[in-house]
Amino acid sequence: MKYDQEYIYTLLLRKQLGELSEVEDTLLQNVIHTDEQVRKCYYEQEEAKLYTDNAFLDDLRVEHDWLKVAAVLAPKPLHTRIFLLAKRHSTAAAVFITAVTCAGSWMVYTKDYFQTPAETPVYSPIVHRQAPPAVKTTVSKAVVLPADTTVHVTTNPALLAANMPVTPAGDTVATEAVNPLAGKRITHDSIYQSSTIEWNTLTVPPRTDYRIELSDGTEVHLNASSTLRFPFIFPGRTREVYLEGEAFFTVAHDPKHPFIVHTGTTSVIALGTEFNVNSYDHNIITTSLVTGSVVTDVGDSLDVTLKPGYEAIYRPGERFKVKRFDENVTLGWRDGIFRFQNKPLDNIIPVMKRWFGLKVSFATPGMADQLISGDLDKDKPVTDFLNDICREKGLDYKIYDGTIHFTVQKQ
Amino acid sequence: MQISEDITMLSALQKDNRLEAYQYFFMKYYKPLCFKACQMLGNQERAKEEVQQLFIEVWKKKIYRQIDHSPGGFFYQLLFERCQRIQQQAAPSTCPPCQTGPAVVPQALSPRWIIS
Repeated sequence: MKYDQEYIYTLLLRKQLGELSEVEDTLLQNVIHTDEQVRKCYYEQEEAKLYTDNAFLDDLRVEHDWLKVAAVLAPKPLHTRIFLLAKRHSTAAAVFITAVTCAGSWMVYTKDYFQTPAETPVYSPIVHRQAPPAVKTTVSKAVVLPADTTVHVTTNPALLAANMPVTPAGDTVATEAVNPLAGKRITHDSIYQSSTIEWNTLTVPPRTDYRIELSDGTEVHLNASSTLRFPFIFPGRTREVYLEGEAFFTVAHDPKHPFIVHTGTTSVIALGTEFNVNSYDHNIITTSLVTGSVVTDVGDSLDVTLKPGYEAIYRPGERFKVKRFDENVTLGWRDGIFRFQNKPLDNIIPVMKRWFGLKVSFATPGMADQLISGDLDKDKPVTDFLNDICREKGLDYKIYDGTIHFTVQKQ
Repeated sequence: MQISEDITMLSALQKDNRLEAYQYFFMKYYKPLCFKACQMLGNQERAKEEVQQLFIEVWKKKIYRQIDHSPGGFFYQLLFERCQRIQQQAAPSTCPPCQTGPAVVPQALSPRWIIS
């Protein structure tokens, strides 16, 4: 066998990848002895390995960069390709076009035929009316929304409408099993035929969180007092949703259809990743990346690409700030635990409101700045947590009028 | 002795022009190629860009059809030539040691010094 340059250099590269077999390695060593050019490259490579810090190689994001390349390489849209094909084979094209026209008219015919008696359009508005009440719910009605439930939003809106208000708390819904409207499903086709996307709004009241699976397989874990606006299907080139509050996204991998989360001020673009977006405060939007890669964007050129373990903090009018984050702290809410580590006492204000519906007041302004540490567990009485921190800091508290009043401990 | 996966992917690429197969080679050799380019160019960003450009060019001009059997080495050689060209282009721009100093046309530094 003749070992040519192409083969030898592949060996060099694969040597670097650490996947050479013993035989291949011996072969490479032999060539290094005889071929000066290869020897030079080999020693350069070995030397560079010693002196380059690995950060450069670790920083390379192959998948991300491939997407950039693929965007350039991606085939032209279908209609252009058909056009080009038609130019090349004009006879075949004529036949094809005729066939398409026939099929098209048949489809139009059948669509009309099936749609006339069907009641499908009725269900779309139902969903719209069913979902928004959750938005405006007061606490009394909010109890209806089941906690810790997985609702599969398939392309069948009727399912969601039927399931959401009635399921008891703590259940995981097997959508197929409890589907009273099975006979009257809205099929994919009827939705694709509709020209507008139907949007649904899901609001999670205080003191609960909520998991939902979108039609593309993306999982969204919504924190309390959050709102997600999403379409039942994602027919376009992008998958876009709108978020108020906080949510953890596990985006289904689909590089061709970027997933975009809009908050009031920023957008997060993801391809197949896990990340947390916190937008409770409109003036501080935090995007924390767990795996994969996301780009945060405010509509100008100052977008930021995040690496896992980092979060981007955005305040309107300022640049993104990127820093490491502690998963236990940032994602603690997902386990129903909010961890404070040497945080000023007033940091509990938002979470008290979100999880327990309580306001906070301090007898003296200085109290708000006292640093506290402790785990606030959503499923335990709030008094456990308050007792702990008060004992530690020499404070006292009373809860009345839906407010926690902190006072100095009386001797 | 070549790994069979490379061979399968290469035939998928050359026979059916599969972008997926091309992606496989990108995924596999991107890092070491960037490493090589970075050695030659001494600039990480530039290195990444050149490797990406190389992959775009090879696909668009269907140069990958010329791969004999080992895509890695094929890209390696192209990249080597590419970086060498860049090095050569960059070289003349550095000023050769000159004895007389730069030829500068005398110019008034500030408008008020202009003698009219």
